[in-house]
Amino acid sequence: MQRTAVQASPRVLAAVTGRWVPGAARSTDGVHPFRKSLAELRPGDAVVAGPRRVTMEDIEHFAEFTGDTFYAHLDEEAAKANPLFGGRVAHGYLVVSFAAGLFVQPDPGPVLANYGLENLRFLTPVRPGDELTVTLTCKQIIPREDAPHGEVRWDADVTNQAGQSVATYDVLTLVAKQWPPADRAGR
Amino acid sequence: MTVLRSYAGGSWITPADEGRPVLDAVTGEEVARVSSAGVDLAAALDHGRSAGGPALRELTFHQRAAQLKALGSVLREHRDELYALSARTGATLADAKFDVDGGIGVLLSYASRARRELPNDTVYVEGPTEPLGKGGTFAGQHILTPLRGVAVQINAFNFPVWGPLEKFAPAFIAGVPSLVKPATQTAYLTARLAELMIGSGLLPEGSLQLVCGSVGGMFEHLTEQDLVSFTGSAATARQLRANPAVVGRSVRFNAEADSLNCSILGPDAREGTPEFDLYVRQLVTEMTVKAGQKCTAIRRALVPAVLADEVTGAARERLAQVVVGSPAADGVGMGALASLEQREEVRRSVKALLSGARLVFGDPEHVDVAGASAERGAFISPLLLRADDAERPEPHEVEAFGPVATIIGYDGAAQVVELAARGRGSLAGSVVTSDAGFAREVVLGVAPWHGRLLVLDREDAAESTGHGSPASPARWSWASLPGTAGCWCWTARTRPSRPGTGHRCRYSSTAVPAGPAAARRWAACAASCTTCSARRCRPARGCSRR
Repeated sequence: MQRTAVQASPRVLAAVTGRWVPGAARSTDGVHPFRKSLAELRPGDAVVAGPRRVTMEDIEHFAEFTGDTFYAHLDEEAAKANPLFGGRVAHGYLVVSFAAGLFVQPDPGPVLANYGLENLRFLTPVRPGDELTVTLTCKQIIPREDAPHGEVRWDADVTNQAGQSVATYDVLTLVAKQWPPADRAGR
Repeated sequence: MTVLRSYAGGSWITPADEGRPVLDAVTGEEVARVSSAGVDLAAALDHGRSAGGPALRELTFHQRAAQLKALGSVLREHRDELYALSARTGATLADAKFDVDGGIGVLLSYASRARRELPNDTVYVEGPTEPLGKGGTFAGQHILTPLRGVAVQINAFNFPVWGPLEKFAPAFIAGVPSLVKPATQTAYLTARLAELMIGSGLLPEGSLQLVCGSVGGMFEHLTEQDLVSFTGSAATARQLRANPAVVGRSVRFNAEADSLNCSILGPDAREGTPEFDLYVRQLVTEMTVKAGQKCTAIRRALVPAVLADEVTGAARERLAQVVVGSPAADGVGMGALASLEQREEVRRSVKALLSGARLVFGDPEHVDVAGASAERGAFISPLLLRADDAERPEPHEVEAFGPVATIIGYDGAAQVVELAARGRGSLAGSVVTSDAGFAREVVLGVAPWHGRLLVLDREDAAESTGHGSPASPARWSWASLPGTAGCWCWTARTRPSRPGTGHRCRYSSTAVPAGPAAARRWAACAASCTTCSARRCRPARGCSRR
């Protein structure tokens, strides 16, 4: 195959590649993208959810519940001495969990499963009192030839009240090609 | 008169004969004489293999990168001297900066990418381990190790600084010694560059050698572990590639030759749209920067047939404002070609083009020149041609390596894709449109013939680096280095000092292509920034996710 470097605005790159590209427009048309089957879902379909305030109680609860009692979350004195944090911070996994709690649409629907998460980076520490907002954007749709569903890769960007990204990652899901499924639709 | 020396086998060698004279492109005075007589080319290759290679392989990728970075700083301090020498090649100060700063930028960019993307080790482990047996006792992994030969780099006359640096840098990072052969016409500038590089004392002995003059006799000594990166004419490339040693020993050979690059205007970009203006401005820039002596310059302007008159009129208007003359004269926008021979070559090519097109701007035989003699210096007017019949073969086949472009009309996306392909493979192409659907159709249609494609519109114009000089790595992966690093030039744009830090951060401004690994790059970027406090320096544009 020929390898070609394409340089363009995010809007045009998205059109050329058929994928949503950071910087390209998002569509938030009021329908939660988790309510859309592959027949309706388009790259760029997005949901913005939040804010949710992270409290010291949340952090302590999460530490106790999971057993992750790393000092940076619980020991103010020791956390202060940490050159990166300078004080107590929330668990990265708490941030990711809160984000899921914000963007998920809970009812039975075309999203069948969450099968993974890739490229996770924690970029800015989250401190007690910070408010988290998550933007989840459909990035890429890969229908499976031999199955009634396909893979959808979502761009997740968790930001704090200052608009800084605190965590970024790709969420991987399996989504039905049609909803309700054809065999049930007639009943 | 200066007789250029070569640096081979660990010492500077003065040629054994008088050499061939090279003339100043502006005044016609002799600048230097060039000859490789007396240079033992076989011994030079051996020296690279026995001294340069082992010394480089002792270093990790990061250590090599650190040396490149230090070298870049040394070269920066000698920029004025290099600019001054560039003027003798016909380059204006802007052209000289393009070549000199661009070359140093490439060097530094390779250094920073190596630190970010390669391990602090001597072997590059590529990709994940792959299980090959069901029981888990048998697995596979790609690894990359330095070739044990020499990277022979034969360069073109048009980028005497950037050309050698963009081949030397990846070879050095890869742990392969370089032997640089500059084009005779501008060899005095590359020779000075090499003196600065070797004189810096930063490079392990044998990792850089320079041969001014012919290297024809070297080819029979090439081995399976050597590689050749050639930039120049297609005819010379064909001849070298067919050398019995190259064929018989399967010497890696990468050629970067003639390219009939096209720039395509979208049907939406009528007169009065920002895209129309961007198109015309870019066309004139590509024609006049370095007097059109760029392997990526636009040769074919493919425009909707109904817009051809408007484009011609607007381009003529802009071209009429370009002052041709000595780089030293005031207000000069275009300098000289590299040599009088080159001017004859351009005139011959234009004559051939005129069988399939007519002149709409300029006269190949006459030009008003500021501050110099039009005859003694290698000056030529910008020449815009118009092909009334898109089917004529000449504009798609003849490359005039100077300030020359041909406007060709097309009807519909399918035809423009077909016309673009008649260039039979190009380094760079551009599509100027704000219609994303047209952009997709044309990009996917012409991509198989292109190394790089720019889609220019009102949204990306301010940040875009233009048709001829990409900012992001155009075509490479570590796996292919240094073999295929050709003229895929990319510049690292530095941006002004960040408020409060007093430093310039290169990493924050190197445009990283958007993609699924954006977050990883973002973080890697922050972690590797050594030009300013890593935590304060937040890679913004380019690395950021939005």
